[in-house]
Amino acid sequence: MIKRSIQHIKFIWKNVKRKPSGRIAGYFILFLLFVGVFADLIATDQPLFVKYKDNIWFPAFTSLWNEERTEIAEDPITKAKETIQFDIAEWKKMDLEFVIWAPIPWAAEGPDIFNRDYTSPFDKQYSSKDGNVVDAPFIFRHHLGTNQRGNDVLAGIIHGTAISLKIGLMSAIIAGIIGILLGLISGYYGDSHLYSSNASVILAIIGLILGFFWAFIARFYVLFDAMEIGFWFATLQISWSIIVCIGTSLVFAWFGRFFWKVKWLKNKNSFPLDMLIQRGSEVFEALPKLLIIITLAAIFKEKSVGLVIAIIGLSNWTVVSRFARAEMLRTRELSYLDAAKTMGFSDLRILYKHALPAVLTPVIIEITFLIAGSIIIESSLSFLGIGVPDEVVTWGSILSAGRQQFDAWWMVVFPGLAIFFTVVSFYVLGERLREVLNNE
Amino acid sequence: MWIYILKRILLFIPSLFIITLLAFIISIKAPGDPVQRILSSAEQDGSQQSSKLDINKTAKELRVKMGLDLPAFYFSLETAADIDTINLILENSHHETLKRMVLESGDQNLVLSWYYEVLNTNKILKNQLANNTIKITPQFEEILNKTIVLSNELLQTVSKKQRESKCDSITSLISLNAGFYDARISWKKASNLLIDIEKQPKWYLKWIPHIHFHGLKNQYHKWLFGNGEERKGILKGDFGVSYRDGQPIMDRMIPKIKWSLALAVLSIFLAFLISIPVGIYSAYKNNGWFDNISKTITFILYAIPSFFGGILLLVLFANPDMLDWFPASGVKDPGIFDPNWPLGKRILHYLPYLVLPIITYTYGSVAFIAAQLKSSLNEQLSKDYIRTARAKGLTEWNVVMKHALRNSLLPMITILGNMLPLAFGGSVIIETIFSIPGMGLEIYESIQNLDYPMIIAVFTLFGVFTMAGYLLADIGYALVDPRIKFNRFNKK
Repeated sequence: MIKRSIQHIKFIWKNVKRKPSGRIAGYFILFLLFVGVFADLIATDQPLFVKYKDNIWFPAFTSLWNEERTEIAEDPITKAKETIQFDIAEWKKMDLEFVIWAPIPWAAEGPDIFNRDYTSPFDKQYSSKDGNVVDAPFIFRHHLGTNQRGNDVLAGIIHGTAISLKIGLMSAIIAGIIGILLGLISGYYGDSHLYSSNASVILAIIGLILGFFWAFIARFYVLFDAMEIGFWFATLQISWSIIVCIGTSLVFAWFGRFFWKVKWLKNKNSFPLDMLIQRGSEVFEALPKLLIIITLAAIFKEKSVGLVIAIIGLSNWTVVSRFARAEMLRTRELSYLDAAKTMGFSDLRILYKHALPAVLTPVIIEITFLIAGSIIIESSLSFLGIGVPDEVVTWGSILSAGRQQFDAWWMVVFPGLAIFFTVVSFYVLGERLREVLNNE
Repeated sequence: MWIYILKRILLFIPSLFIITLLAFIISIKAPGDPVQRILSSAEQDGSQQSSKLDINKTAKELRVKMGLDLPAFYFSLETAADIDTINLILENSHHETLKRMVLESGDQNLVLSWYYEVLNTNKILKNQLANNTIKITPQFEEILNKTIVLSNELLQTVSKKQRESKCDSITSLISLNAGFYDARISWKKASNLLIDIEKQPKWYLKWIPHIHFHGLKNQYHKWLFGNGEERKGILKGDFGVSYRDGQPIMDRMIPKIKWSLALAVLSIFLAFLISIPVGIYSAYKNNGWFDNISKTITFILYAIPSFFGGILLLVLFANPDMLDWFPASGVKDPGIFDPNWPLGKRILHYLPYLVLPIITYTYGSVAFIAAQLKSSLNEQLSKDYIRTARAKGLTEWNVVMKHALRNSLLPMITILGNMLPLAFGGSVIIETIFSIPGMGLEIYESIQNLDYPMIIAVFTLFGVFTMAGYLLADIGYALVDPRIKFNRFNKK
């Protein structure tokens, strides 16, 4: 199955590449992904390779897993020992025998005292190794200028790429999973295709209340502790709680079949699943997302990237579910689903094996657009100084700093262009995918 | 169809209920105690200078007055281990810790006696510090202070791990120093009780659900409908007073809504004015030169996030170094502006301030509406009835403007409906960039200042307006398009 889907992706990519617009957008996104994944190696103030007093180190690489790595260098002549902690050592001032710098030898948060107070990319830039201030050599120049504290804007943009893509992709995955799941079942069952006896419905509601109790009230302090430990552990615990809650309800509903003796209890009625999900998503869309983010951030007490991912993902599922539902409604009319039903396959199997692949393609197009939207939301949030932690440099936060100082046009234009091109290329890719998949 | 509209309105009510419920949950879960907040602001004014006992008493009175002593909702779902006696303990910050301990051990008596023992230790320590007859060395005083602080913090730590580490450090401090004779006995008792608690004698209680019904005397009911006295309830538009200046929320909001509404109406009008001709012409001459150009431009405009577009406009047109055509922020020049001017003069004064925000507001929607209109008009133009109309010999103008356009304007109803909350809430980003005193800026500022009554009012009203927008759009559809029967709520 994996092999087949890889083949499918290759086939789609081949078709997308046919038009220059799709080709450029596709390669640009691949480039962004590359920059995002290797941001810590592309823009870092630690050398990639260094030879110092007969020691050979790879500081940028080793810092990836051990940030505070410390080494001791011994002078071969004087035998004086020197302790070097990689992340705070001032490599640019050291007497290095041989060094390979990263392409951008600046970290996102590493002030350069010689080029503070908004140094333009075209201005004279300075550097100093042994106390004498000289013109900066080309490799140490700030190609896109600096901000007030002397942080390199280009390095900030490169690290911002990583954050933006991470938030965009991950939140789209969350929205996709929830949206496809709910859209599928709401389109498949509709208002009149899910029959259940009165007993089952009543028991399911009781089960839901009990499940909620066991999952969230009795386990309240387990969840509380999990949130203190970390975002991913909290997600794990919350997912487990949700599984417990829904599982209890389903188990109770299953017991409904034993109430066949009382006539009213065994009467079967259609369950308006579609209506419930539609109303639910309507309410969900009516909530102001910004305020939810603030409130959750206040409950979690700390800003975190994971929280922003979760919130953007959770607030976008309605879009995906609307598309998945519409697509499912169309697919339901097709005869092959009827055939599968006549053959006596279970609903679960039909949904997973027959309906899902048909629905997935148009939804993936929508998810491409969604990634662009999430990136815009993320940068708007960090522009307002909400959501992402203050020490994380993002496109939005650079822009917001540029707003304070209009003379520093480089802090507005370059991150803005980064957002613009990223968004445009996701849009173009989405359009191109739509063309290709509709022709297929 | 009237039945459909009625049904739609009836379905609107439960959704509304859920939104108010969510807003209410935020309001009671919001960090910070409103009573403490009011008291501390009163203290800052200097109007109240009173002893701690008095403050405790006023806090209790305020709590009753604000209805905070009531249960939160009509009913509550609790574990069998939960008890009401904890709510009677005056010190609010101790509640969570005790609740957790009761929940985990299941035995309230043990936990309460532990609590009083710790309080007793704390009291003994404080007495020792205050008692001047016995001379104490500075080192010992320091240790004493440290122990008191630790035991105070102990009762406020909800996290189990931190609580354990605090207990350990108190134990070591007390047992190491000879001066703590009385405290040691009391602390020893508390430690023994804690060991019993850790055994979790009634652990099963927390898995047993208990439903309590509280009737109408609860915070949510009072919040919705008022308490019959000075609070009128949010259904009558009383959202309480702002934490920032004590003004009623509604009085604060109305002048701000005016700005947001004016901006939104102007820019939506402009957006339709520009995008409808563009959409029609590019659909009529599909893939012509005009269509290609407008497609590219709308595509680019749509991809520029509004904060980037806004700042770019500011840098270009409100910058002394570039073009200084428009003022950079605000809506008026306080040096010249006189509120007694006639309306026309006031509008002329506002105008230059509003140009850039309106452009920022408009460009995104122009792109969106033009693209939507184009695609729906294209769809209509390829239908059979258009071919019939053309075969009848109607002029192209009549075919496009009368036959096709009318049907393709239907999606515009949805777009208009979706813009309703914008008219209330404004745009946080645009109003922040241009410092327009509208709702968007107000939201941003209330978030920065954690002004919860305002946040909750905005939350509720935003939800209501969004839902109302959906409702109006659906009703609009039903009224305009006779083909739509909307029987999806009927049983098939």
